[in-house]
Amino acid sequence: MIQHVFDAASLGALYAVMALGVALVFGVMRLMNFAYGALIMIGGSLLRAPGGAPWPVYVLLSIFGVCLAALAMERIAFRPLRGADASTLLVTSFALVIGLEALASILLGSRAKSVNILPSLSGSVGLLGSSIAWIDIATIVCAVALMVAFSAFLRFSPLGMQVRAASEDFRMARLLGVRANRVIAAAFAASGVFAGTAAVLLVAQTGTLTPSMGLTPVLIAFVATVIGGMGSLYGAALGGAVLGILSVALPAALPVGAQPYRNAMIFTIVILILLVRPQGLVGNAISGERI
Amino acid sequence: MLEVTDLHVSYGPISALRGVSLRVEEGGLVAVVGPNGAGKSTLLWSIAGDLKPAVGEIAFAGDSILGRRPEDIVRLGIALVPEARHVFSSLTVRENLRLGMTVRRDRRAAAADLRDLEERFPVLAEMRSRPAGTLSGGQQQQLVIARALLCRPRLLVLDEPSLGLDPHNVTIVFETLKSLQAAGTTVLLVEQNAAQSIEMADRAYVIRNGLIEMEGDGAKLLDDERFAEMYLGAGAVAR
Amino acid sequence: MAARRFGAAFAPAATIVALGIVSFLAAGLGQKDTVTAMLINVVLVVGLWIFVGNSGILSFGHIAFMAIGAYLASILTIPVTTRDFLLPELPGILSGADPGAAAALLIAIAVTAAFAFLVGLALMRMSGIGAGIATLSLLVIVTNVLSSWSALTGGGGTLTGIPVTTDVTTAFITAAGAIVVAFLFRSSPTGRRLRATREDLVAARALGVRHVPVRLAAFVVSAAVMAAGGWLYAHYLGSISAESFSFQTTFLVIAMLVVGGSYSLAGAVLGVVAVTALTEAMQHLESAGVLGAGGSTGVLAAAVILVLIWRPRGLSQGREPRLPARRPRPKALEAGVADLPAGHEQTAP
Repeated sequence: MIQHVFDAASLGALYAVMALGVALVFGVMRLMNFAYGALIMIGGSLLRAPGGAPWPVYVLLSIFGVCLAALAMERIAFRPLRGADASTLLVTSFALVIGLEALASILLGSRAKSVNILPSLSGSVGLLGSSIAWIDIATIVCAVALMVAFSAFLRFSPLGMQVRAASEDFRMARLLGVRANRVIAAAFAASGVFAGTAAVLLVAQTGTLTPSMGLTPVLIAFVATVIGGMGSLYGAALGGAVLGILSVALPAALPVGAQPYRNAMIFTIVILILLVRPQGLVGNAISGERI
Repeated sequence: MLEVTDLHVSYGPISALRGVSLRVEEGGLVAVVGPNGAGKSTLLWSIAGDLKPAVGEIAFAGDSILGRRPEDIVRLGIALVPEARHVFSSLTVRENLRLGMTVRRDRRAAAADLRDLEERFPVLAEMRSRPAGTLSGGQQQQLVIARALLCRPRLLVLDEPSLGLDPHNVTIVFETLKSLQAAGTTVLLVEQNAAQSIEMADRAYVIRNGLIEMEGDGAKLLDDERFAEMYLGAGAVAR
Repeated sequence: MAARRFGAAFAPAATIVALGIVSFLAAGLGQKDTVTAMLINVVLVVGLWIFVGNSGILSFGHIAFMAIGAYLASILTIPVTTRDFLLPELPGILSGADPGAAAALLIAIAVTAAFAFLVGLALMRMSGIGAGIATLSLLVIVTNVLSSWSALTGGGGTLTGIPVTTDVTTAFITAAGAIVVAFLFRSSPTGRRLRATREDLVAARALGVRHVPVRLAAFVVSAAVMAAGGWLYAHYLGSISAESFSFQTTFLVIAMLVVGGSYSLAGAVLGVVAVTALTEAMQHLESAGVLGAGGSTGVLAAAVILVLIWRPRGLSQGREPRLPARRPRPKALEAGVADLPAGHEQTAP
């Protein structure tokens, strides 16, 4: 039981981190960035970079590299399309992830590869009478630390304040001199940090790396952002946590025969949430943020 | 100081401005009045750089600002206070004001300006840490004007600042604008509240259906019979 | 009145004729497989267009209807003996039925449409991104159920032994039929009212248009067409599995629609032809060794991005083919288009 709680918390934390990366870019640009999945895949690939350096180097390389990739992505693919239709942007971002995935297939081969990262975390520890995996604890700690640090950035730094203002009212922010390019770049860079962290944690948990590893996380991130409440970062984190917990709790509560249908059940709950609270769990019905 | 020449702006197939020209002299207060949908907001958004006109020219202090980005136009000295206030509701009053200082490079002077504004609008000091969304309409209007002033604009542009305010707050707003003008800021004002704004204006323009229909020196316009009939309503007596 | 009707019908008629020429030419040149696949995609993209193009709501779930149509039709057309072997636990009405390919199509369409109606009752009040996520959830739910319900669909959701009855002619007739249905819907009062809600929901409602019923109508009709596409698909490959109805397929269909131009029916078809042509060219390069494995997907993705940067509203720019106009259009309307402010002001297409 305790083990399940930690499993749920760990998955919830991972999903929350994934969701925040997506929610950030959405907040500033109203763009649901599918290519976030490609960022995660890049992050995972960088963990397999050659050389025998100690693992913190790879982790930092991964996060930093994804950050750069995110900035490049914004500059090359999204800036020319600023102001375009929502569906154009969506398809572009999807084309990006498919394209980058194909590129990765060519460069790295399309089979899954095993990656042994953070080997010191592969064991478990006895806690509260159960055996808790170290990686679960690490995931929770990392996710929380990242979220706290980012919260501080948003609240206390000038750029963070500009990001918050731009997320609420981009047009007005520009009228006060907030530079559109800078704020968007900041959002992408931060989203890159989240993606990189999610990639490291994901690879550490599953031990494998495939070119399409980013697709499922990005879908989860999207769903989490929407059920949490668009335009709210707290909502996105909450949505991720809820999805993670559901993903662990539901199979545990279901009879064996119903196990194969767990995805169907989770997504039925997603639809129900959207029907009952179209503005999301945290969303403000009056804010006019139309879902 | 500001010269708009033959501006044409459309939203797709709908023409909002069909050849508008006006001037704002340095240190003056210009009012643009007209009914809803006349193109007043479109005019202001174009000046602020948010809309790109198809035809026409906008020059500020002699240089063309056509096609420049909004965040650059602020740095040149034009600050727009748009219609419906647009406070950042999730940010505190203090943070809203701080955003006004984004373009300022002179920290000390900016901080001094902030203190001055908090003195002039005491409610802003009082509600400093409250989310801006919790303020009343009148208080929000004071906030957005103060916020725009923190940019130290040479030209302050306002879109219907009296909209939705009770008469007491309307007076405060107009008093503020008059004193700003006295202190040297040029003001361009768009209003539905024609009488009061034209009264204090040096020059006024009447816009309807995307075109300027009348223009004249403020007080004289109010005396004009044609204006009174057209705008203040048939049967209204010119002053 | 009759003249105007004729004028409006020009676009779909021209589209069908052009499609026919391209298809039968290419088939004659030995590209039967490519053409059949292309025509199946036409059915799918047109089906999606019926909903997306008219309502402006992007649905990620329409492949679910293709899946239901495919599975149901397949269950009914797999020869009874094979059926007993593959799906021993099939309920009585399904295990013995042998209605033939055409009837199976009609049944698949009817059931899918009914399902879409029920689901739509819940989903059609949503707009924008919420609708996108909800329809995506629908896809996940349907594919999960179909692949796990082994009594109905065999272990792992794989069905084999489906008679291969789809050829270029069947596919073309179905595609032409889809285009006709799409045109009829578009010109119907329901279609027009729905398009009004796409442009401006608030204004349309103020004029008395109730958006849920008109959206629901589009949803159901488009689901029916998707089911037909599923039927075509299953009877082309001879076997299907849950993976055929995945997110990748969804992307492909949506990309074809957006590249062609989601505001116009002709554009949707154009998108399919263009993407098919490009993919074919890429496949050749790939097998000739010029591009590595998976390279064709990459080039396709890059091409989609480039097209969208160059023509954000798709290749057709949202226009339908027209007969030359009688009078020259007044010049004043052409004067200047200001850019709408970037970022938040965009509404869903």
